[in-house]
Amino acid sequence: MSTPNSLIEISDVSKSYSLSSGTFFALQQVNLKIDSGHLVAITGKSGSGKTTLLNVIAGIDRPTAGRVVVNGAQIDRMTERQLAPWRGANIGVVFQFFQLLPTLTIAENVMLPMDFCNTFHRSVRRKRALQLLEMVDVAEQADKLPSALSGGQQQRAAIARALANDPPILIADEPTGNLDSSTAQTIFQLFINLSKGGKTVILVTHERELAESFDVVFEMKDGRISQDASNKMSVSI
Amino acid sequence: MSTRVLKVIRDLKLEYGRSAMLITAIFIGATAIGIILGAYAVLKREMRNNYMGTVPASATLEVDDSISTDILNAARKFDGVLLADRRATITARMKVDGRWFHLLLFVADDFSDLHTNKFTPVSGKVIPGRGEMLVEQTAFGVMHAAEGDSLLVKLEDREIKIKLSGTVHDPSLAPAWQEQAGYGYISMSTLKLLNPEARFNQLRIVVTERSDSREHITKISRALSDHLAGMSVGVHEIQVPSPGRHPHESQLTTVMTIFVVFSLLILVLASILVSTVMETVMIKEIRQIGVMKTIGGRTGQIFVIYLLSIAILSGAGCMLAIPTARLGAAAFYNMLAGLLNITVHDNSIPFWTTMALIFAGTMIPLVAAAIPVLRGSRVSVKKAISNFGSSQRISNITLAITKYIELLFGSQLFRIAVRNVLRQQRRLTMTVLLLAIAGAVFMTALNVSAAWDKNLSRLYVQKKFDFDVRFDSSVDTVMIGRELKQVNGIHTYEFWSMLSASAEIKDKLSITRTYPDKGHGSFNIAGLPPNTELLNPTVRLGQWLNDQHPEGIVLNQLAAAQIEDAKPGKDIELMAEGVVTRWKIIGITEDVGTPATAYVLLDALMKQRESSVNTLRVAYKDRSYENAVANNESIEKLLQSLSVPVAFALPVWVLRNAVAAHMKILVDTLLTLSLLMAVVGTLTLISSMSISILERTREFGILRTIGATPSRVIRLVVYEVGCVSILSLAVAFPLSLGLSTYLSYLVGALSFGTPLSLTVSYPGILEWTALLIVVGLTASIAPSIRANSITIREAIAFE
Repeated sequence: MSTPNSLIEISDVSKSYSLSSGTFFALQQVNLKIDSGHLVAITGKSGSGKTTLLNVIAGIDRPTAGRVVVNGAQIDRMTERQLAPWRGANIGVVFQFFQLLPTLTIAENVMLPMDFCNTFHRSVRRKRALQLLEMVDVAEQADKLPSALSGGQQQRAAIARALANDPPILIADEPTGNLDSSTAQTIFQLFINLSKGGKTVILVTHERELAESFDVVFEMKDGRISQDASNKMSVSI
Repeated sequence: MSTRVLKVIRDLKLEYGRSAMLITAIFIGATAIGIILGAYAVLKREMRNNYMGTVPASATLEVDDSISTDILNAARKFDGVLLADRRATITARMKVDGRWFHLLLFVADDFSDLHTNKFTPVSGKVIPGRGEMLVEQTAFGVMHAAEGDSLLVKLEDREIKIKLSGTVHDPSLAPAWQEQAGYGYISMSTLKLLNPEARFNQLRIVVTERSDSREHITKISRALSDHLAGMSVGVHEIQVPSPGRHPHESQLTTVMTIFVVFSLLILVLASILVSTVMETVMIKEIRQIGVMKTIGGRTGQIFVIYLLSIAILSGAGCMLAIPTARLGAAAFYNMLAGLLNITVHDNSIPFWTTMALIFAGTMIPLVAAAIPVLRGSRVSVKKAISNFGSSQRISNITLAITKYIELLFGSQLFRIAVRNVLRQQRRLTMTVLLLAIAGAVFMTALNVSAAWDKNLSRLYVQKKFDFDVRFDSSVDTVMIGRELKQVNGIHTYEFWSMLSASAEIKDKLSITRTYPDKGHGSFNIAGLPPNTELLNPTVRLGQWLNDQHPEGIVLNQLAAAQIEDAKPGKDIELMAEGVVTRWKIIGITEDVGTPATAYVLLDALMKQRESSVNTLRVAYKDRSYENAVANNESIEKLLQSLSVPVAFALPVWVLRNAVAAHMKILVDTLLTLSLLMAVVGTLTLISSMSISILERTREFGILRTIGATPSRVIRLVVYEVGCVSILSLAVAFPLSLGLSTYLSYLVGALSFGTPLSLTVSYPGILEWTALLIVVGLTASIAPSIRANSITIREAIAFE
């Protein structure tokens, strides 16, 4: 099932690498559509292609074949130069290891995407950064360097940074993989709230016990989507 | 402030050690450029102003008879002549510490109304009275006297004491210590005490227009000469030195050009260091670059972030360099001004030199850093965020090399070290290149210095005589020879004929390039006995004088340069003191420390120009300085006792000192620049090793977890430094040979027209190698110990 205008539409996407042992397919003939406001999980074993799929959606990786349309833009045809600002405006990325820039304070880290994409007036950027940090509950740490924060706090700040340019899509590659279970639960709740707030959130995760909370769970195996575990809403394969 | 700029500033603060090192490197390079350009600009301006301030004569007309006031007035009124003075220049001798030395006496008509070749009173009397002399300020040191003292002066057989009544500054003359001669200014009445027959025989003129054209000056001088001939005054020589050019201007230009090149090289080296460091920074920050690109950063924005950091460091280096360079330039130009005998009236360093410093100090590092920064900025997001550190791909060649090394040395640790060195090939290339250039320039500076010393020592090889005595009039050579045989320690002696000459003859008039000091720009013809034992010429082309070619002439390189298309087989005419002589060139030599000279057989010269021998050249059995001094004195006394009129007597060691003094600036500054090069090279090795060790902290942790002791880790790093150092030496040495060959040629050719032969300074190689060892060990052991001092857990977690 799908709505006529999906936010993300992937058609016949393959990604292969030439190795000395032969051609390796990270993705094979993948088709999927994701509409806005959904909380989507991509699961699978290591090497199954889930990170590659996430990277293709974010314009970080290019498919060898197929078509990728995200928020109306066919990104597989865009150059690196075009992709950077597009990504800044459309995709918020959250990494497993947070990847906050170590010499910028938390607030400055959140302001950086606005600076790069020249979104929001310079005078309001800090105010917006503080609002986002407030939303993820680390506003008190705004003027500290990342090294002064716990892992959970850093990941919250990273989520705030991902939201800086107000992108419609948030993607996260194992965002709780480096956190204890209690903190992971809190971070996960944040993603649920964001999804409820209208953001499309796509997570790569190993934690199958969280599956119930997702609108859709894709399980990947050998570069293919093998199963739609809980196709509750308008997501199609 | 934008968050991007904040990142740049915070990163620089975080890595303050690295930032300080880069600022230091840029500071050194920019300062060197600032000093050299600042000093050059001031000296070039002041040299010209000083020289032109003396109102140098456009030409000097040497006349056969006396120049009367009527003739002087006629010259002053002559069309095309702006100013005219009558003068005389006498080569006399002065007694200093019991020995006779060269003394140039400049005789002026009216000291209160000089029109040309002026000088500035410094202290004491402005107009010398009868029996008094004004002394050029640099000559007191040579005279070992002070203002108010008296000096015994001798001309032919007359000796009188002359009071040194005043001090003057004459910037048209090279410093007296450089020429190893005294300079005095006397009136005609004083000269007549030495020679009652003395007269003004030089007419110095300044032309009204086109004073920078030698051709025009020659034309006016010849016209004036014709006019004087109508007044029964014969002119036998017209001296037209290079218009508006101080005699040492080309020396200054040569030396400063070399310095500019060297200082630019220092900055280029510093910039390559910046580039190497940025290469590492971009690898280290690759994940941050990936993150920035993921959150919207474009390649251009990221490029600007990292380039901005270099701009800030370069700016800081330049800001520090500006005041230091100005102070350094002031010290340098004051030192050089002393060596050039000029006074710096205007201390202002032109603004363009500061602009050039800023431009070079920022643009060269920025251009050098732009390449690694651009490469790093262009990395794709995927590659950046999935980066696992440096490339672990090892080529088959690397594997083969390491395998061979293991077989050769049987050390696995050494094999690992070699593989480590080869795995970061771009950085290895940069580091080796940087060290090699620094080493090559360091060794080149010492090689050129050694080549200069070797060239100087050739002076003794070519000139087999130790004492050069010039007579004023004809002498009884048989009698002098007989008496010389009684003097102990004399190996041999010869009588020569030395005449001033000119290769440019216009209507039987000799046109020379001689300056008023009679030394710079002069051209001599030397008549030698066949098979002379006192000259061992370096024949570059053709052959030396021989009986088969009685009309043959051999030119030295400076003489050949004054004759168009000079080569063996060409027929030439030379004016030898008023007489046109004709010769066929049979050879060209390369002389050290000899002005432009043409060698001919004495008999052939006597045949063409009736003249007697006027020169005695004596060689001693023991050529040591002490013995030469003692023998010179014996010969002087002998000639005095025989009443032989000696014009001047020049020991060869004085000549050697004079030649050495001319290039003192170059040699001293080359050595200073080599030290700066050593500093930059040291910084290179330290930075390269520190960065390499720091980024491998995790690797060392892993090595320790699998059983490597800290000492083995340190040995590994020391082996690596050894490999890099050996590689750099292998590149530096041949590079230094090429650079030394070129620079030696340039220095020699532009200074005295004698290209210096390639000379390898073995102390230079040893010093550079020792520096590499000491700095290499320091740069590797200290950070290795630090890396080993953290726990394995911390080391493995290090990112």
